[in-house]
This record gives sequence, C-alpha cells and structure tokens, in this order.
Amino acid sequence: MNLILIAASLIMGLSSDPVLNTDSKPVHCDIQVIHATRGDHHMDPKLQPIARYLNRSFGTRFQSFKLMNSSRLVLTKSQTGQESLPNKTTLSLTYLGVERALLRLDMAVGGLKTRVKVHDGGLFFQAGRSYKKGMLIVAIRAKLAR
Amino acid sequence: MSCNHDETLLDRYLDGELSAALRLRVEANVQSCAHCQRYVSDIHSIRQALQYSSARSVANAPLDSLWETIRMQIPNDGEENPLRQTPLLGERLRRWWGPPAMEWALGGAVAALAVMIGLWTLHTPPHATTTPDATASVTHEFVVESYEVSVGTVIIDVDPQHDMPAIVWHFVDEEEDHI
Repeated sequence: MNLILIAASLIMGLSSDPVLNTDSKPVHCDIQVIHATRGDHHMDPKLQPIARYLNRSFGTRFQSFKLMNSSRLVLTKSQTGQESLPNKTTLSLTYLGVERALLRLDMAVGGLKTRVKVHDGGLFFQAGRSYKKGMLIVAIRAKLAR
Repeated sequence: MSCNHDETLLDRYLDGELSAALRLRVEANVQSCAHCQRYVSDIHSIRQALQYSSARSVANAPLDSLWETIRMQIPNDGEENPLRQTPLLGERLRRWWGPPAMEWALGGAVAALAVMIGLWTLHTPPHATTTPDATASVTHEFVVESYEVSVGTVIIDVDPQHDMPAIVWHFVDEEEDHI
C-alpha cells in the first residue's frame, strides 16, 4: 500500500509540475533598442552578448552599435506590453501562449503588425527604420519565466 | 583327497558361501593342493587391490558438491519441489510484491509514471539562459504566422539553421536612404 501511495504521489507531483502548464507561466521579453551607424567600429560593451549576431547580420552596412535603451516586459497570456522607441514609434508585444514549444507573440511597430513564433530563449531583430543617420535595431529575446 | 581344481567351488569358498563342513573340506584341499592354493592366493590379492583402489577413489571423491550436482539434475516440472531449497526468481518476486492485486496496482502505477515522464519530456521547452556564453547555444527558431503593413515594405530574413536570429525588416520608402 505504501508503494502505491508513493507512486501516486510521484504522478500527482509530475502532473502539477509548472513546466507542463507553460501557458500559465509569464513570458519575459527582453528588449534592447540599438542605434546602428556607419563609421568607426564600435560595439557597446552592453551589447557584447549579441555582438556576434549584430556584426554578422548588420556588419556590412553598419560598423557602430550603441545601446540606447533596454527593458523587460513581463507578459502573461493575452497580455500586451509596450515600449516607446526613440523614433517616436511604439513597440507593442502581446503574448499568445506556447505552441509546440514555441512562444507565440504579436508584434506591432510603426505600421507593421506581425504574428510570430519564437523558440523559448530565442532572439530576433526588428530593423529597417531610419534614425539619426543610421538605423534602429530592436533586439527581442523571449523566454518563459522559470 | 583327489583335487579337480574346481575354481567355481573355490570362488564360492572365497565368497563365504559354503557350509561349514564343505568349507573345512575345501580349506584342507587348499592346504594340500598347490594349484588351488595359488588360485586362492591370487584371487585374494586381486580382491584386496580392488578394495584399496575403491576406498582411495571414494576418499578423493568431491562429495561436498555431490548434492548440488544431483539437485541441479532434478528436472523442474513447474511443481513445487520439496528438494529445492532456493526459491525460483518468480517465487521470490511474488513474495516481495505481495498478492496479485498488489502486483497489478503497482504495475499500473509504474506504467502511468512512465507515460507522465514521457509527456513531461515532450512538453518541456528547451532551457535558455541570458548569460552571454549561453547565447550561442540557444536556437533561434523563428516562424512568421502572419503580417500586415500599412506603410513600407516587409522582409523576413530567417536563418534556416536557427543559429542566427531572424530579422523582421520594415522599410519605409522615404527612409531607405541609409540602406
């Protein structure tokens, strides 16, 4: 009888594991607003963790990358968070839940609306808009809260 | 006494099978007949040698393992064997698990546990951290479900290997001078 109780406890413990209920967990969206310009090579020290990606993706056009702002939006399912950008536009992110281990997000910024799915902990960029003789790059990393 | 060298009679004498009277007559004959005396002596020597050899063989025999050898050769017909001292593995497991109802209950619990572990493994998203060193090991899988744009042009730049972050380009015509 004791063994049955132990097995049942294990099953109940696993079924209530928060990892199984990922939709109920909030998602953290780490946002970095970057000003990319031509000229002397410069990489903001705070951008070192993603410097490799910036250089490979944008290095042929821009040589200087400066972090203008960083923030974190903590979003529960269906919740929308906003971040003001230096070019007077607003970035909006809405968390739509988890689908096949991918985090679904609605993103809206400056006339663009898109629905994307990103790997938990994965990074993506939104770029293209001009700003002060350069370009704004928004780096977004979405990951489930632990 | 005349002697016809009856070896059968001598064998019976040596075996102690003769009556007392006949044994006395044969003994007297053996004493007087050289042939019979030699025969009796030879047979006696042979028997002694055989007895010694048998005793030595028995003394050197591995009797300690004799029972184990015999026990291993007893056929197992599935019935309870009173000679078997060590229970079979199945018997030992049954004793440990308890009655059949308990076996079924535990089996079901173990199966359910295995299913739960499988589901847990399938639904667990890969872990990610924000440390710079871990960035390179994170996959950047990215899927665009839909998009709409009120102004400008959209280009989705996705790395199929997922080792580079995707780029959602949004160009507005009058701003494209920097490209």
